[in-house]
Amino acid sequence: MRIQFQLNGKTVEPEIRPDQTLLSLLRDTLGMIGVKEGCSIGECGTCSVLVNDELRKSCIMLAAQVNGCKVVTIEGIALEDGSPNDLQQAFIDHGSIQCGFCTPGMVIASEALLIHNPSPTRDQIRDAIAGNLCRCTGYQQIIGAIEETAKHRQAVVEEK
Amino acid sequence: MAINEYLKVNTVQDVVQLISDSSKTSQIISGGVGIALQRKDGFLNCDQLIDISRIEELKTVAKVNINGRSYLQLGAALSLYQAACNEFVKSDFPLLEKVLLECCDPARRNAYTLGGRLATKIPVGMLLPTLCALDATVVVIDHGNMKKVSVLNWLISEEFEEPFLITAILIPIGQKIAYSLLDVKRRNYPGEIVVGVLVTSNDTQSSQADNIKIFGSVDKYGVVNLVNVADYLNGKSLSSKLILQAEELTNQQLRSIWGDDEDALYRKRVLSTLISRCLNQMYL
Repeated sequence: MRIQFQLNGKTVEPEIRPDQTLLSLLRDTLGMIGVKEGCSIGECGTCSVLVNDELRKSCIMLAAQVNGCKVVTIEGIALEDGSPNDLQQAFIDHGSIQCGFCTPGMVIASEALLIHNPSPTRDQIRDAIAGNLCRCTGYQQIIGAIEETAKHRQAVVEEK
Repeated sequence: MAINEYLKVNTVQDVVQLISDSSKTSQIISGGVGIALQRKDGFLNCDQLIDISRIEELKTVAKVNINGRSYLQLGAALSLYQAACNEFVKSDFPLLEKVLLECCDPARRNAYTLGGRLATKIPVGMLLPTLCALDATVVVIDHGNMKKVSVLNWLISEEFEEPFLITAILIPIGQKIAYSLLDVKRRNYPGEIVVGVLVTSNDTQSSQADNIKIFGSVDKYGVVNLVNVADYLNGKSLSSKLILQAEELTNQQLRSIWGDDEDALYRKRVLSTLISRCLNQMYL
């Protein structure tokens, strides 16, 4: 079957199998290899993507479900010239990346939080990344990066 | 067997028609989590997937009157997050709102649907015990007939064979509930509950147990209704001594369900301790 959806701002019309997962479609068919395959059962969050601005785990979602939707992967987060956006830069600055495997999912989960809650508390940040496992950093640096980005974005809004 | 078709339907009638076609095997998909997991495990085995996620009547929230009693009707295709954000849920059922928001991580709150959680009967946080405590009812269409089953009976019932369609959950309005909720979360998986206990009672200021209900939820073992303990406590004025007796009764009831192996002993100890703490919080 053929579906149509917006992937990182561009319309795509891939041919899919009815039981194909979104993760398989994004990685294997569309080459979005920033979307990582970890546990494949919705536990680890490395495959996180935004579907219509909602955080979803692409390993536990079928590709057919995104027909007509707007999907954003980590590849769609960076600035137009390919350089990191403010959140990604904050991850780098805070040492929130060690092995880096969880990072795409963490960044997507953080973006989902900041879309819906521009000034989250530390507890709200912890809740927002509760479905994303990191076995290297101990989370503190990640929380710090998200907190700083939120403050930075708030300051930009207030300046305007 | 390869899945041949993925059908997106717009009305409940279309679903009923499709699932009653005995020449094809069907699976209903809403959030998609169950299907994706079955596929991974190699258990997904049907001719067609019927996607009900865009049926508007399965996503509505309304106050309804049935046989003179008011209910909050929650559509089965609502995600847990959508249900938690509903104004009626927030104002009338703060316990349900809390449980919906705390039962799993944000991505799964967006993916899991109320109907999906009830269809699979797999515990997610304290959602199922909470629905039991609120006397919720499942509305299900099975072989073309609409049936209403209490969530408690639904969880132990084996009479429904797939494919059936859960259309809504009904929760009686007007209950004033006091509650205590305690859980143990999985260390490496933030937000995931290993063991949880919910104690509810009618909201009174006295120390007397009034319509007390006690539910436990244990990881792979599902919901436990500690009805014997609740019956023993109801109508009595709670004291430390009585709570200790309740702990012993809890152990007895759980022994009859789980036996006495080392693992079961550990589960019993955790559950009975949580129940004691809940009772202490509420009454002492």
